[in-house]
Amino acid sequence: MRRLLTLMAAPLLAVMLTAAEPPAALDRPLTDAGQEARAQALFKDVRCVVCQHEAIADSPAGVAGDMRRLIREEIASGATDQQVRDDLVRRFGDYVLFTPPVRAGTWLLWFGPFALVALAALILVLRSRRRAVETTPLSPEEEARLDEVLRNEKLRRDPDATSPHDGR
Amino acid sequence: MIAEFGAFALALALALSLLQTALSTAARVRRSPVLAGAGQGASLAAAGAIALAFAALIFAFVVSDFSVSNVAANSHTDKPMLYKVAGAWGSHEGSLLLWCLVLTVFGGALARARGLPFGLKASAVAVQGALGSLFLAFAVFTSSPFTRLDPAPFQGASLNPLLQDPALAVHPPLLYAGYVGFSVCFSLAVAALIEGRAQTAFWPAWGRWVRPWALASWALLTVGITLGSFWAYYELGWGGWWFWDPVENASFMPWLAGAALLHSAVVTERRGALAGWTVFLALLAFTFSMLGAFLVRSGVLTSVHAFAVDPQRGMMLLAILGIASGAAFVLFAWRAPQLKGGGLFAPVSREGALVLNNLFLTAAAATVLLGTLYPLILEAASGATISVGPPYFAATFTPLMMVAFVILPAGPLLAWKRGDLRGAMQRLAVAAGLSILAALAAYALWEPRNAFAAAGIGMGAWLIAGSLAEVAERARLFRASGAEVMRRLKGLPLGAWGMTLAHLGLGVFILGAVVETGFKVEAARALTIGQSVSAGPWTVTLDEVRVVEGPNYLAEQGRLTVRPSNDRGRAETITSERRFFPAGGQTTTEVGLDFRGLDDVYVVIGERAGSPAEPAWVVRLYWNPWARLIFLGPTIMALGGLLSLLDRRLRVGVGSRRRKTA
Amino acid sequence: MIAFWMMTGLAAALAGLLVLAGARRGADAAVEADSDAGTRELDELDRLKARGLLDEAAHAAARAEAGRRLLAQGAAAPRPVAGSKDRLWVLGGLAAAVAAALGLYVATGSPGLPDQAYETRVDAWSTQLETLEPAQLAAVTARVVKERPGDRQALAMLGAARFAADDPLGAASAFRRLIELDPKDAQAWARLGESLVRANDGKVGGDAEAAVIQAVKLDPEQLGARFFLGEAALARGDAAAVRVMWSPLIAALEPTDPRRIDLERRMPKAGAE
Repeated sequence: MRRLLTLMAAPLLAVMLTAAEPPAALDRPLTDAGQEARAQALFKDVRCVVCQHEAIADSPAGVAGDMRRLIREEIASGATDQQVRDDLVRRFGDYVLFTPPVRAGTWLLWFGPFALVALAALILVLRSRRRAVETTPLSPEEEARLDEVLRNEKLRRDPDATSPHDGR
Repeated sequence: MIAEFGAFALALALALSLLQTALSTAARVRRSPVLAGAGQGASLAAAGAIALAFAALIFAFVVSDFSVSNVAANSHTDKPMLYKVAGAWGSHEGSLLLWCLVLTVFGGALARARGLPFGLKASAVAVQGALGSLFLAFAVFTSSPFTRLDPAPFQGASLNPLLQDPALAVHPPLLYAGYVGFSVCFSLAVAALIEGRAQTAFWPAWGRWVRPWALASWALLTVGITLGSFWAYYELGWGGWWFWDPVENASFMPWLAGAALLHSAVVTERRGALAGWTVFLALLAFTFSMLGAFLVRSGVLTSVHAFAVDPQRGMMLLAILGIASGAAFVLFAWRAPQLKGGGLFAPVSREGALVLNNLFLTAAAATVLLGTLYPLILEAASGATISVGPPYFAATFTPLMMVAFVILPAGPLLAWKRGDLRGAMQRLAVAAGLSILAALAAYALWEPRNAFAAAGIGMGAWLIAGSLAEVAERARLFRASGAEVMRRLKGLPLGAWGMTLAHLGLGVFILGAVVETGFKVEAARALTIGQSVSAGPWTVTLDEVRVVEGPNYLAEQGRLTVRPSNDRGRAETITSERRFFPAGGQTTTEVGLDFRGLDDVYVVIGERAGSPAEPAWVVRLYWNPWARLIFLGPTIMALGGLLSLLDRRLRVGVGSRRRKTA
Repeated sequence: MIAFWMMTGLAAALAGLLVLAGARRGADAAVEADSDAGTRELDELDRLKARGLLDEAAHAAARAEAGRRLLAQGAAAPRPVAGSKDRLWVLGGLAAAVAAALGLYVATGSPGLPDQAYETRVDAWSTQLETLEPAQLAAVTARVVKERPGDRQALAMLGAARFAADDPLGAASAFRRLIELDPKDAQAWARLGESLVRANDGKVGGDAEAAVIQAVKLDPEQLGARFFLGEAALARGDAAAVRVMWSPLIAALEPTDPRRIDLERRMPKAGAE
């Protein structure tokens, strides 16, 4: 009887589990290993358009499955990676690629970090030129003044201490 | 009654925070120790009041008091107890309360810190109180978790099942402890700017006061981020652990700024130099924390973290960020030219290396900031939508960090002020040789050949060997007698060990990340009972699928056997589930993980396929080599941070010490 | 209510105590500022040298630098002094804060609204069973079932209550447990089928059909089950099976019953195919 119950519950569960979102059809890898590897590499760079920041390589959504199939078809029909990308951008916009395009509006994005490093390095080099480094040892007169300061410090701290080292 | 008491305690906390700000400000202006002490007392009392409010909220969750709307919206009587408790911080209101709790508890610790000069401490406590007042006012007026429902609903709406997970139950408290811990650094920085000390003697001491807070926050943040990443790894069900998702970036920016702060504070502490820069970083770290809170909570980015998309609350968070950071940076711009550290140094020196470290860490943080905000800004400015994802960070962030990693092991070997570069390089010769060897071996032996991965392995080995070389150097290993080496090792301060561990952990992490990314193998097939799928050296067989009923979900549970494809080695049985939560109508996957040494065999059972007569299930199998190191590395780094925190030199600041017997 | 005000009073008093204790500590500690920082720093340098971490020259240079810094520091900042009215200010501030907290609470809270812990509510509901809504009844019976997992009557009630409360999945779970206790309970099978149909948006799925078939097999008089079997047959287009299932059903219903009229309308006519 347990077995029957389990069997019965299973289809219901299947209905519920898939109710939220249509599942992706099972992927059919390309037979050519080289082409499949290219497809897999592209999947990592293509955003699933209905998901939150997920590549279609990782997304379980149905749309992602469709996009994977589309890309595999294009690759199988002989398109280069660049042609596949261009085609995707034509269909879905720049948004679909995780690699933003390099154009005037994104120069800051692409080159900003390196420009920042270069600028900071330049400032550091310029500043390091005017630096004297040596420290001369304390003169006897300075030593004496320092001793005084330190003695005062100790006195202030332990007004009635007999030895400067007790208990510390 | 308890719920209402929670609401009162929250209001009391806000009033006490305001009192803390007022008393401490007055104390600083009038130089009155009585007012200062009272301000510190108010800080402790505020922390206590929030703790009571938080306890009241947890109580409401534990007893499922659905008359509290936050409980009704985020809990359910069928939920296991752990997630009832964790539900207390599983929503916008609850997490804000947690944020305030951490903020005031850190504030209370600051109030009890000893050895800070009078004016600095009064100012810092006042600033901390002002921060607390801002966030508490936000909580009380717009996001009170104690809003009541009358009549109460019969049942709650339950917590997002993705969040019902042990790692995620403890992830927010740790992450927040890290985020908000930087608030103390922020307050100390603002206080230092207010005190406006031009004397060089001030800054080394200030560096020493700031460093424990930065260390503690950074270590906690490291653990929090690692837990979150581990959660994503095994809960989301496709084996990724870092996606450069804006939400992840939001936690990564304060981490990077905090790491830079740690290093720059060392320079300020030891040499009195870089004072202005360290202050800047202390302001930046908490600004990034607040920015992260804004990004995550405002719904600007929608994700599992954006509990409620509520633009109005988002704008208020932005306003808080603007007020707090804006005021601080204006003060900084005004006072920075007067900040005089002492301590001159040559370009090739420990200080110089730390400056480079800061340069690269800050540039890395700026890259993450750009990558996170640019799509938002570009869309707002021109309407163009772009996505910034892993390829962008691989092209910008990764090379910057690689340069930093090449330099890293040399830093600790250079002397302060003026270092001996040639000497340092000689001492690192063995480490360099070993890491080049490791890279070559990885390239030659590991199929498929992958030059990038091999270089990454070399980099990881370089960091590990370099850290060890530094300890060996300090201990005069191979050059002194055994007893002498032991004596020297024992004499090394804890801080030095902490640094070594942190750098070593970084190397471990890089090894794991590079190998996992470069060599992971995945396979997916629809399996009927008894069929197998293989990936890399592992074969997985589907033994049985049954339906199980959990406390608040129904699941299809697959039992699978993992065995080496060549049958040399033991077989292990694992289970993977697909859970359906009726309360919210959502499905989650429970990954089956088989730990094999450093590797993970990662199995996910998916949708049902095949005919009703012969059912099949889509089983996805990932072989993730060395994945263990990805999470072990940051854990070692955090341990390093905690070890440094225990160093006697830093213990000066925190906690009450024995009373002086004068 | 009295307990609540006692707790708020206690919390406010504790807060006041902490503030006043802080003020007292501030007055007592006079100036115990960071006065020995210089000694500490120079001692540290000596220790580093003793451990061999600093060589002679580095030690001398570091000491010179630290020493000059200490000398440059000169006279310390003026000593903080307690003002005569400071204590009054503290007391006044404290009173204002407590008053503000009370005002804030009254403005934002719901004073007097009691806690409604789930268990206490269920306790209350179980004393007034007649007036309960289905969801409440489900909560009460769920607790009975938890206490007595073998109580078939309670499980049947739980299933019925959940079904009425629009929780068909919960109802199905209850009926499934009931069937595990007594596989021969035709009524339970029929209700399980009904729940599954409801969970499946009114469509008779394979699982629901299996359940109602089992119900009719155990007891041909299960009219509800016959209804769903007829629906399933209708969906398949099996007119003969529909008639076999629904004829006894129509016979059992009153001639004026709208359900009967509906069934008669939808039942395929004999010889129509």
